[in-house]
Amino acid sequence: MKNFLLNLWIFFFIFLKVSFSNDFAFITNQLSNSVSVIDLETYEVIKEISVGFKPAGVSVTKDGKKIFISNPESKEISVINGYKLENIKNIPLGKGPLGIALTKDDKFLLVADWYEHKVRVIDTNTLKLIKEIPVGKSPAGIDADLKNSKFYVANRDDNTVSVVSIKNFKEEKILKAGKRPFSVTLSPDNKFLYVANVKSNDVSVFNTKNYKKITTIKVGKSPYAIAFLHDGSKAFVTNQHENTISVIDTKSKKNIKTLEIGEYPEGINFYEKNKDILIVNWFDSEVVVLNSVNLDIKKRIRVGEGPRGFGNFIGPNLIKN
Amino acid sequence: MNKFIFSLFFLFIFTLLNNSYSHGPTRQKLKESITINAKPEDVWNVIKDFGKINTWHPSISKTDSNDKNESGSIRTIYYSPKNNTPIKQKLENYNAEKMMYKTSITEVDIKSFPVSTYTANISVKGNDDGTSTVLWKGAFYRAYVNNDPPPELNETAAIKAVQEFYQAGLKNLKNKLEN
Repeated sequence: MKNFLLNLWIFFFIFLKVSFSNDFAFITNQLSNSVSVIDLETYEVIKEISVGFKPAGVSVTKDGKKIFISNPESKEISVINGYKLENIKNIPLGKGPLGIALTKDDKFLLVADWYEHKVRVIDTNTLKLIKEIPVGKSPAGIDADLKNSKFYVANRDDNTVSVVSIKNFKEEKILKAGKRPFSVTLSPDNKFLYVANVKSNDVSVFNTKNYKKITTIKVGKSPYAIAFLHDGSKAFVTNQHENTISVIDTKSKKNIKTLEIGEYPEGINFYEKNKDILIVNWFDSEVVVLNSVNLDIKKRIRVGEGPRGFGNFIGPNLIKN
Repeated sequence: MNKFIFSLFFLFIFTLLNNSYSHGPTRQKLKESITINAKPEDVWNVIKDFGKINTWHPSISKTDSNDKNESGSIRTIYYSPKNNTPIKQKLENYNAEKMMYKTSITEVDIKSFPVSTYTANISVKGNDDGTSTVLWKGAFYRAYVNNDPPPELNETAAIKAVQEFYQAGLKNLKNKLEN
């Protein structure tokens, strides 16, 4: 009998663990000063968390314990506790913190300052500022590589991308992008860097070995952000002023399809577990769930006002009950 | 002498032109709509010509355009409440079937119309009761591109300018069609 109970207990434990091991998406609602938490199993919003003023950027640690949010207008980074789903701290930082990313070991949070033309580095353990790195004008999107060796930042008003060493936090190289580059995204194998250029309506592709520009791919009007499928075979680009997303075949490096998606698509992430692409539509205040296999729209999830979801917004669900 | 003052005026306008691509950190959103007691086709008929907005918008004294409803067409509207200041706009997208079109501002004197990176969408939809709803949606940034804007160039000023523009146009459109 005792054994039976123990087995039952273990069974329940495993069952619970499995049923709660899904993920969340954290969507920054810039016009309602909040973050919508979407349960990616049910695709329902389970909570709206108040953060700073006009939140835009987002980055989640791999363990899901900390969710970082940039608030360019209250000039601070909000830290959300992944267990409580509450804003536990606001770190004042610079004059216009916007694009944020974590290094892949989650040790550092990189914060681009739109007005001060710097990237600031925050130690994610102590939540203290440890370094300021001057980069180009109006830096926006950031991405860091898998080896914790380099990060890349788009300098929007300089039409460049800075390559910065994570070892010594020094700018090593400046790449010439298209007009008004806003976001940078590494391919999953890190061999290529894709840059969305808002004003030239295209994506610049760089080889990360020698930093040569391989090609420029025409996309829709005002491209904003890029997401790759897990296998790297396709990249999806949100075109803000065209209400579409462009589908890029990464082998031929060609734009193979354009899909109507809703008004002002901005942030975009791939959710591997469900093979879905999550697209944040700013004007419609919704997140669109697009099946990456057949490209059908599965669901439109209403979130807060003016969502941007700029960054990596997916992380594990730590709420057990 | 008159010509000299005229040139000076234009030089002044020119220096104020907001031709920078930079913008503030937060895009603003505005929706204004009006229900009109008329069939959607009749409403569309009045607003459909990109180059003739002055025929229904009371705050526009004149429009210069090539009279073509195709993507890339440019119109210059003269905004009468602000001394007929010119605002150059581009037709981004035109869909007669859906009765909607999208425009953007390419050049503007931010003293008169304090916005930057502005796009808008105007559309007509029929309702079940035979009336129509015109929806005008705008997305734009404040005019001031740097940190800490002065009040006349901040978000509130931008929203106010666009709101006044939309409300005046929609109100007059309703009057025109219902009377």
